Amino acid sequence: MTTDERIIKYLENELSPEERNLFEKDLKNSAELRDDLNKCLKVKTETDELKKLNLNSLYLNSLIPEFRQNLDAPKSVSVRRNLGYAFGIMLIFILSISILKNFFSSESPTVILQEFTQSLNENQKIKLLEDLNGDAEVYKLVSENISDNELTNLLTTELEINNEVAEAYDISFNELISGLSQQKIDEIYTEILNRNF
Amino acid sequence: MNVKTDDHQLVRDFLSGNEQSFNILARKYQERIYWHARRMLGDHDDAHEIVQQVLLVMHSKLNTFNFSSALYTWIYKITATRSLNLIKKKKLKQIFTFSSDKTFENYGYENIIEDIEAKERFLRMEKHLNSLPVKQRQVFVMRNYDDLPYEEISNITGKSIGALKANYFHAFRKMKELMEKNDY
Repeated sequence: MTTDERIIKYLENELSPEERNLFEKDLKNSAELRDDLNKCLKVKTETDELKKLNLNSLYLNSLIPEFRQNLDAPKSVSVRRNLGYAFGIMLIFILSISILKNFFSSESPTVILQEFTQSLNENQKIKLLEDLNGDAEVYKLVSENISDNELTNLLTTELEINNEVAEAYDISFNELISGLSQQKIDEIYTEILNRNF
Repeated sequence: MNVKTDDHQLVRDFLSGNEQSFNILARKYQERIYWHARRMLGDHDDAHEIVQQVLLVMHSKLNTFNFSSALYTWIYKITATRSLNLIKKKKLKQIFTFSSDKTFENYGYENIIEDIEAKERFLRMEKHLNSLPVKQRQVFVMRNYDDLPYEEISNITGKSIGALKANYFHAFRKMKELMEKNDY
């Protein structure tokens, strides 16, 4: 048992008769223990004295009239407050549902991009590719406004479109050249090259 | 007639429609309610709010009082619970308002204690009390200021006597250290 424990138990009358006798014997022999006991007694004395404090009688006399006034006051304030709480809770509930709905139904940019490219026909794909390849401003604008991941996905998708269009162009090219002069063939070929295929 | 039967009779009178009996009970216990709340909360306005709340609860719930215990134990339980609830509410408010104010600086209503010297000592002790953790503060207040035995504190707080004694020991030691530091 620490010194503090012994002292507090002594003050609280919680020591056994033997422990109490021993404590009182130690008190006579130890100045340090007496000093510690005095410090603890100060806590006791201070709280005991402050226990006797009286409240201002004017204040005390005002408590019951105020209580009676509160009791008789119309309940409109608390009804209004409860309505406020109910409205707040409803608002939070609606917001939570809409956030959760968006969270579960939202698709990643990659999925959206893939769906978008799949929805395009060949001509639309070519047009999109022209815009991306031919217009540096568009590319810059796109690349500045999307994340690296999204950009990578976009370029991958672009490559896929490139291949698809290249295949399509290859068929068209063979069909086209069958009835054309060499000069015309060269012109078309140069045009295709200029379009970055 | 002892205090208990006296109180019980007043409760019966009130329940049979005598509002004056309620006023007598309120006048009898209002100061003790205030002091417990004030020591727990460290603020006059909060303590005042607790007094009003407890009187309202008494008025509306006295019909549930079962007359098996002393009325004051019943009132004290309400006071202690309401005080703890207000402390929790204030802590939550502090968290949500990102307030760093952990000590209660608003001592409120300057003339509540008329004796100037006693008031200074009271405010100093109140500051120390408020630096104790709530559980320690509660048992310290109940034991030292309200003179409740551990059995009754256990009945009010629902905690074991062993836990209460441990909390009291820590509270007392901390109060001693704080008083020492502040050159009492």
